[in-house]
Amino acid sequence: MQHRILIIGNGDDAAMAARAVVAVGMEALVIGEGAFPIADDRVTYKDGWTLKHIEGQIGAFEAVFDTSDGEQTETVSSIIAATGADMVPCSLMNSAGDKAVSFKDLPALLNAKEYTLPMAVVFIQDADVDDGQWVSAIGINLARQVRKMWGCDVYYLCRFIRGSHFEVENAYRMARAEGVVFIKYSKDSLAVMPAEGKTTVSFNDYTQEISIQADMVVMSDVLKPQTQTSSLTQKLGIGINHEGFFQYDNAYYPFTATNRRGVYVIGACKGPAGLNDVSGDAAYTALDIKIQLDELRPIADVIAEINLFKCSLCLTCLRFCPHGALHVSDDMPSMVVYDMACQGCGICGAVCPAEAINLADNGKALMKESSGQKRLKVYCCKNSAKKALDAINMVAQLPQGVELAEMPCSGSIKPEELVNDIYAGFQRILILACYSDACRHVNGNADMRRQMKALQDTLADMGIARDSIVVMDVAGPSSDDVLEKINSAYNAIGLEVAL
Amino acid sequence: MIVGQEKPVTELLDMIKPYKRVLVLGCGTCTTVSLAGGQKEAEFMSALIKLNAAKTGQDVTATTETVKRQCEWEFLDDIADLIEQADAVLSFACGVGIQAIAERYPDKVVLPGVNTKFMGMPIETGVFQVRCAGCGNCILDKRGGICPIARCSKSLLNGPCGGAEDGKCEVNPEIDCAWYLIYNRLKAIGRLDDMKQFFEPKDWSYGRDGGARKLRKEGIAL
Amino acid sequence: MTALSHLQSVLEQGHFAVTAEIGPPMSANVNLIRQKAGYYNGYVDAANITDNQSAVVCMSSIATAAIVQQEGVETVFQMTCRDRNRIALQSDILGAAGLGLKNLLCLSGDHQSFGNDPQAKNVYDLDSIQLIHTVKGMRDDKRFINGKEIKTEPQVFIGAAAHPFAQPTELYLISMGKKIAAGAQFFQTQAIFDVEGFGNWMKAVRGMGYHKQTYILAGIIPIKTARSLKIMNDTVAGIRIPPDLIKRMDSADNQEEEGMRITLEIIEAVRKIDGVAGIHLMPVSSEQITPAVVERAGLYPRPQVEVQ
Repeated sequence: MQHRILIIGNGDDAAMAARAVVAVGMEALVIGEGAFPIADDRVTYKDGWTLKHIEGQIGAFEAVFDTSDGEQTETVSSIIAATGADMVPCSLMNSAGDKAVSFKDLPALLNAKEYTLPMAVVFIQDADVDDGQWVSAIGINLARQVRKMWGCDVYYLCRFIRGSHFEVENAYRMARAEGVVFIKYSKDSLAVMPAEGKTTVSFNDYTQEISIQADMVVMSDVLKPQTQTSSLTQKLGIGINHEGFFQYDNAYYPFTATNRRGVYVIGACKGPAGLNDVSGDAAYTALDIKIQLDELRPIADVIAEINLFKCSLCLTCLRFCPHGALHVSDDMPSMVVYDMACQGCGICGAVCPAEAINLADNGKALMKESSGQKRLKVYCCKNSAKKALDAINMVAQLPQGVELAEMPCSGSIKPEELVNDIYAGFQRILILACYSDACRHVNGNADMRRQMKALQDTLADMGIARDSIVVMDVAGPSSDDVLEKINSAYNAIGLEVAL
Repeated sequence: MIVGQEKPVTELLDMIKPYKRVLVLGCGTCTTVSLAGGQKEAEFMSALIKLNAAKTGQDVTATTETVKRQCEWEFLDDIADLIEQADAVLSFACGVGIQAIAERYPDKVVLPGVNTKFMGMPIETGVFQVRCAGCGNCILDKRGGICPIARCSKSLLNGPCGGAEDGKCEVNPEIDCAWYLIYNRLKAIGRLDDMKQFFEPKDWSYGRDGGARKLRKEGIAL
Repeated sequence: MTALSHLQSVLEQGHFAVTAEIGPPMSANVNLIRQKAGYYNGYVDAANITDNQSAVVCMSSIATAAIVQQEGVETVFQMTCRDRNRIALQSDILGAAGLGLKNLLCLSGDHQSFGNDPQAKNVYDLDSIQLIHTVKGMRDDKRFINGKEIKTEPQVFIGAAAHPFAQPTELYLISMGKKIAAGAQFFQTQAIFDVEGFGNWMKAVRGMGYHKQTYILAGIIPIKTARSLKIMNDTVAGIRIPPDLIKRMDSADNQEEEGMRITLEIIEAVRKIDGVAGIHLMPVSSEQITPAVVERAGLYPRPQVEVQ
């Protein structure tokens, strides 16, 4: 089957994505505003189309567009957002005078037919912020070109050269061999001022004050999210980071993948980190999409199922699902699960007010039953605590009064389950969740903590100690920590525990 | 939808004290959607009742059930046996459902599990706000589609009071001044003249009193 | 037709009017009322009697007003829509007329949540604009709201509140226009501390021609201390005090005197604004300072007018 991939954006990042998609034998539908550099019969470019919303799941997204001919709907197998970012001049540009240009504007000067050859050019990287590897890649390249074309002195001021991959490393070596002088400066010491037809760049290189009279100063740009980014994240149902770029880091997803299966983000729209290796990311993404699409199967062993008769269409699951896996059925008065999108986290089941979502025991399974007196019940997220325990094979050695259950995500816990545990005799319940910024299901930890807070309040009203329920964050590789937390929660039963 | 809020657990445990067999009855329509009285809340309450009984050494059983709508006898009749077996029904419906049980089962004790708050909608996940006061004679056509009776603290019909500041109500700066909203919306739809006209004192008899109001649906009612 | 009120005559004959507020006691203490009325005698054209202001239970405004008038001071009695439905409101309007009260200020009323009884159920059967319309109908058309005829109508000079600083200005000007159309003959504004802002608002009011259709009394709260100023700024809805004013009070050696000076400056400034027909003093339970303010503002003695 021919897969068609929607690519949002028409800049360099989008072009790389389109080439990568075509290279693995898929088709691309590209939308943007203005020209698109690739002409290829496997690439369809729609100038002026904007995304309105998407429905569906990987393999068959229904994307609705606003176009000059009204609304258009297209079915695509997967989606790549590659909208780029805005480059704005760094703040020092304001005071630097007319001899200053930004990285972005330098190529035009290099290509100009007429110019006065400068004697000394100073590059400044990271004047405002630590810009990331992409800046080094671009800046070193430009410095080498200047050195080669103009033959003048080239000083490259930076706080860090970030070259985690070979290309940057190599360019840096070459540049040094070609005579570019690299100098590390301390941030607060930097000043750029026009002076008698030249520009004075002064700074401290950690040993002394240095001042260079430059004929031209080239400064790195700062990457800012585009204004459309935030609304696009909502349309696509994916995350936004605190700086306003697409997608926070999540160790559980491949670098360009998102919380919504089949939706990817590459390039500058992810922020500075997205620019480190766009072509590599594009190639990887295209391959990942192709592999998934060629043999599409559910991602989770157990996925949510809706009881049509109980569902009241309250939309709570839709609002909570971190994976865009629920939607209102077209032909039934009920919610429906996208089987390829559901990741089986059970968050929907924990919030459904009608108990209309089935996920066998909402995803819980016993890892170890207690024997004798029930003392401590431990819920282990299978993304962290369970992995940690499995790694050391110590479960059997835990005290008899400890019962262990695995869960797909801490967000799957329902308050009444814990009340029943206390009723069954457990004196304490320990929830071992992933750290909230490492939650595979994005909000599972936060959703659970809110519910637990309310439950603790309710129990406290009934005279049951708040520390009957203890929530702790753990990480998969930290087996000792997990064991320690279980043992200390167990040993502290009857004592005051800091929550 | 009718928006409800679960009563505090201690109040409910106190309420059911005299009874041994309690049916905790969820309602599958409004209170489910307003996250106050669906099967989830009913099961949670049942679990708490059992736990409390165990803790205090009482002999109490709690059964849980949810019907589609407690405000229709037909749905209540489906669980007649459950209701009969219970000493008391703890209803998680709005005030309408609670009364429907009382009417259908004249001998049965029925207790409210939910405080019925208002007719409203979710404005964000888990946050509901009033929209309609049920005045019985809708005036939204002249108020830009925003109801001052439900949304102005003083239900002013002609314009704002002097207490609002920066578009927020004097009673609580988190509440938008309804008249500020009305003004902005009328302006946006080019109908500011709507609010320049004088609105006569409202005929409240459509919605506020006169005993139990009744509505006959002509053409349907027998 | 019976005689106009003294206040209305003062205004109609072009004098710059002075009214001042009296807060009724939170008890049945009549002497306190007579004492406060005594401060005002000869210094104001009418004393303005609040109606359970801030939703705090006090002696009724009508009863208090009647006692004040026994002391020879005309009153404006306030009526809010918070506590009475149309039956009680109309009944009280007749009763007030029977007691010889001739000026009525129609207000929506502070929300009950501000007072000592936030558990109370508010009424708001009518809003303030409907109340104005009702009074006018009772007086001019001799009709109750329900259309039934009134044989002997109440003679009332009808007032309303205006809000110079409430935003957006256009919204509140629409309301003011509605109040005028409904029958408001004079306005008391919210307290003015920002004279420039008030001047801008008056410009907008003149633009609408409202100053020709009604009398505007500028609301003045005599300033006492820097602290009271700050409390007002932080807690009273609709009051905004320029930071410079607070600074000036803070740095004054004699706050009482500085407060008086600022008050007089504000009065002086608003008098000069075209369309301002008088001032309304709100001494906030310091009624005794009113004579000094009036005197030092050069507004004493008050004009003797022939009541038509």
